[in-house]
Amino acid sequence: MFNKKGEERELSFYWIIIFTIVAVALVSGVLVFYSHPIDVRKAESGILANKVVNCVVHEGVIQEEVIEDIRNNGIDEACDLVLTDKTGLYDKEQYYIELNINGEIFKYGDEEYGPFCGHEKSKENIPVCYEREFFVLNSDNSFVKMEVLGAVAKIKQNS
Amino acid sequence: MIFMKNKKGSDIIVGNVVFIILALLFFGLLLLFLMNQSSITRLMEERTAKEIALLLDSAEPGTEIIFDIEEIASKTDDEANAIRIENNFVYVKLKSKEGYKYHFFNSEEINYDFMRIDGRRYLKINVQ
Repeated sequence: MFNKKGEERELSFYWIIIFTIVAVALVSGVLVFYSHPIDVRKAESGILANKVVNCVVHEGVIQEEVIEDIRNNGIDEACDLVLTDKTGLYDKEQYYIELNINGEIFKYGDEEYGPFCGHEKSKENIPVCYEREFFVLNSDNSFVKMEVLGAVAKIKQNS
Repeated sequence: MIFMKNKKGSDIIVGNVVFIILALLFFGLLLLFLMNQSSITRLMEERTAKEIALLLDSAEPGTEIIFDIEEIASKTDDEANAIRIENNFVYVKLKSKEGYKYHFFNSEEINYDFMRIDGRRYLKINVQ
């Protein structure tokens, strides 16, 4: 009798330990998961890069007047983009765009973000980038290579 | 002797019943916690603001967006002030003090209104 009771007590003690481990693991896992912000920068940088491409290229042909506008006023003005984040969370530009059309490079934003692109494994505290290469027609119907890079930092809100 | 045997049996039953009740209670509380965490207002504010901002970023002029807000509207009494789109920001404020805002870069003119379809609440956005 004594031994059986002792075994039961020991068993319930183990049950308590198992339940506690399960509870702690679940609660901490869920808290860690939900405490991180939702990272939308991959989508945002892709949309940004596509916007720039759609602005510069129409039906596969480069728009020379848009390129001239970019030369004079910058990518943001020529493509009607509002790229200044006024959340008050950041003290510098949160977007970076690099457009390379046949060797002529146009840039907007913080150039420091450029070298961080391509470092997928360490993207936690660095900007997230979207890079694409296209071949498009220019005004004299010859193919030219176009490269676009869109980078979004917004680290405080996304990582 | 018969009394002793019955007592032993009832002790085992009571012990098992108590254990099952405690286990159910434990897992019930855990389930409640998990459900509560996935629908906390802070998370809903952030998710909604970012979803709307990305939709607006990718929208071309002439786009009409119908966005289902039934889930978040049920968390507030004043849906008109819960979601606002102003100065290239999407503001979502449910019950938290500050709410959440997210910037979008599309410069097109944006008009929005709240509507109901079959009793369900939607946010209608026109990008012009």
